[in-house]
Amino acid sequence: MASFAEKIKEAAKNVLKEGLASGILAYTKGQDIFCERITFVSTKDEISKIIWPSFGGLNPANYLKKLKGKKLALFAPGCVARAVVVLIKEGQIKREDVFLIGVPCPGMLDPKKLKNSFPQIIAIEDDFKENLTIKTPSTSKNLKRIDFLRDTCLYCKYPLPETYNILLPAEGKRPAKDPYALVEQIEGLDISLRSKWFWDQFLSRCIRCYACRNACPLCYCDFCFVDETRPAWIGKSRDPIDVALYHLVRAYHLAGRCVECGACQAACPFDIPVALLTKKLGKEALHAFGYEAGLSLEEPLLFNTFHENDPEDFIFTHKLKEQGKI
Amino acid sequence: MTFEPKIIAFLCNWCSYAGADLAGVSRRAYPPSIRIVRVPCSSRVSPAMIFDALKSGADGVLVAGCHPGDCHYLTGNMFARRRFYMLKKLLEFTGLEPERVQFSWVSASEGDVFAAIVKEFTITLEKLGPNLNFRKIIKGEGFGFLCRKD
Amino acid sequence: MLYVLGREKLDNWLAFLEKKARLFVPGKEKFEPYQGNITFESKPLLSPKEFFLPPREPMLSFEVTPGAFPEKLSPSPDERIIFGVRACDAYALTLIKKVYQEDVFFSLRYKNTSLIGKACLAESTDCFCWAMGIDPFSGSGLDLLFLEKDEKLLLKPITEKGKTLVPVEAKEALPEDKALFNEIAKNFLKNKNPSPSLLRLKEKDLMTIYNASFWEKLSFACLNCGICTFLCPTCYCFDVHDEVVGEKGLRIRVPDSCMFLLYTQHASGHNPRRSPLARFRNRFMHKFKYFLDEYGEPLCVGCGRCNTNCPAGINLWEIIQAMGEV
Repeated sequence: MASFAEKIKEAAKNVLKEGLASGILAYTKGQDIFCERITFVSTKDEISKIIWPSFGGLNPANYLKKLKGKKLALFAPGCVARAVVVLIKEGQIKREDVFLIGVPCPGMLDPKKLKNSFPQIIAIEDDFKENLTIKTPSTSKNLKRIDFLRDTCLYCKYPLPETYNILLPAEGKRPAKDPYALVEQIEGLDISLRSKWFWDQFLSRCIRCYACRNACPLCYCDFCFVDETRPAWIGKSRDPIDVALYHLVRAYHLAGRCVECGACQAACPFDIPVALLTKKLGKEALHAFGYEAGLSLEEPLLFNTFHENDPEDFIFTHKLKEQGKI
Repeated sequence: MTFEPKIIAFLCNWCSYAGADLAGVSRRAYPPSIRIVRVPCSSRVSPAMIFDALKSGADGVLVAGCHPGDCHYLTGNMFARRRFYMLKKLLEFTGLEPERVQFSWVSASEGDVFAAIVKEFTITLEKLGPNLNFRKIIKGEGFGFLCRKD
Repeated sequence: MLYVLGREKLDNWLAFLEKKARLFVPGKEKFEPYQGNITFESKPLLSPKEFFLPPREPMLSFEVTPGAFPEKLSPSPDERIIFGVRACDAYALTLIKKVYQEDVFFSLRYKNTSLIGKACLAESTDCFCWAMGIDPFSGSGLDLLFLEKDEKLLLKPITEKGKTLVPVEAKEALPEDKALFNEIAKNFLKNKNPSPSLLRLKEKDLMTIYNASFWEKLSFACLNCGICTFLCPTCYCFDVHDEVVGEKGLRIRVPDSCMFLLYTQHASGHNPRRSPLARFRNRFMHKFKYFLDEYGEPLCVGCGRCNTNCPAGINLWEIIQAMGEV
């Protein structure tokens, strides 16, 4: 029974051999065991370098904008396939220019969670199923993968891609039973605590490096709203009000478009829970409008359409009528 | 001196602005807290504009449009309805006093409704107090990784 | 002159320093005001560069009224002491000083701040200060250097200001302590030589490196975020913004990143470094060729923060080696 990594390499070999794409966006080893690198593999010799990442974090669909005009193949776990579907629907790429090798995703590990518990890891062995072995200078330990998965992967709804050209014969993670648990935890707090959470986690720590924006496959605007100067919607300094504005407007621009890949949070050097804001909006889009980004190529985008019965309980006049004031 | 809230209102040209005009012509009294910005349609209003108003010191922002089905551009307010729903949910989630941003449908014949909306919104804001948290303050402070709230 | 202080007297020393000026100690993410104890022993994520090139430096305050003249602002004259700075971060400030010596704001802050460094023994696998030609035991850039060994702290004042930072409880070091200090200093640099790539870079022709073909492959994975530039203790580029609300305004200086799109955008709208590759290349050329040619040393102190925190897994050494061998 071929291992996960071997299946990946085999699929890549076939795609190149049969000319299904001019190159593949795949992960290769980085210099650091905790950070793998996404590379564009276009020759047979480079195929041996392809790996399946234990830590991953970034979304390969983000690099599609660097390779416009080429026919590409991508290894697509659920979130990558969803990102590609949204890009197709928004007119950024054509379906025939992308060959999706569907991968049932085992979930990615969080290096910060591992480093916090074991500061001196020098090597890891990942079976991409349930077990993980770590080696430190003094010892070696067996761990369960599920204890160290990234938060976005732990609560992922679609580890299996819905759209693909071929599907790798492997077993991935099961969809989370309670995907919005972290969001509900914040929703359940009192408003002053929510405000404090926003301040402590976002406003007092963000250094405006824009790693979240640059890692996101759906932040592809040539000219971001941050760069506008006439009028300048937000300032460039770390003034808390500008930081708040940046995160709010960015989350809003991703409402109904976020595919919950967690690249934003993986890229953040301070581990700010950026993915939680867009996940909340994803939850609202699902519950109020029955829409989830990136699942169907035919369904219209969230803000491209409307329904006569869209909820309007937030309208001021309705509230006033209820209170008998008009 | 009692606090007099400042409300920035984005009113759509065809329905809610006309409704506000009617309130004036019919001599309906309402508090002078409102400053009106006329837009062609409620869907013209983007969240960046709403946040910009708050950032500049507005205590409240009101966006008013035509009733669903009555939009001059046929469907503008229907798209706007979806967008404002998501914006409201985002503001609630981050705990940023969502009562400061309100949306409403006001038709061209609803002068009294417009006056009532402004009156009630002003009362709400008087209770909430001035906008001190979500406002850009020009501080001459240099060093400090972060401006502490306390 | 070398002094010795028992490890248990550390709190007394910190209390003594706190009485002299505002004291800052390392935290996990940045240097924090001293509040009774030191919780973090290693290099914070944000370097002490933030104290000298703050994230927001008001320069002018103005009013939009006829006849009003702008008021020049200057930084607070409060004295500060930063404790636990590493050799790499301290040396970085001397590099920045080469460029910023005429700058009023930087000079005032530099004058009012004392730096107490901890001689680290490169506990982290990320560091490579010696490869950039830095000796952590020379104390360059620091006012006082201390080494912790066997429950003892060995204090070595470097500047006149440093002599005033020695507490009364410290006694003059005995000959065996001095010998210990020198031995540790000598042993540290055994087998740790400056990188040969630096010598090669000094001799290479600038345009050969600039026009090389490896840039495309090496810059592919880069997200052009800004993490490397903000965490780097030597990056010093800035931008100037006007923040205006109503009639009052403030002209501020904020850190800028060469990775951002608008970095070299001209007022005419022309952008000579529009492509991500051009900006990526510019960063490494600046650090390892332009600055090297101009000042004789690279604009890098080997702290390793860029390598560890890059979300895309870019590694500095691959690039330096490619530049040196082209």
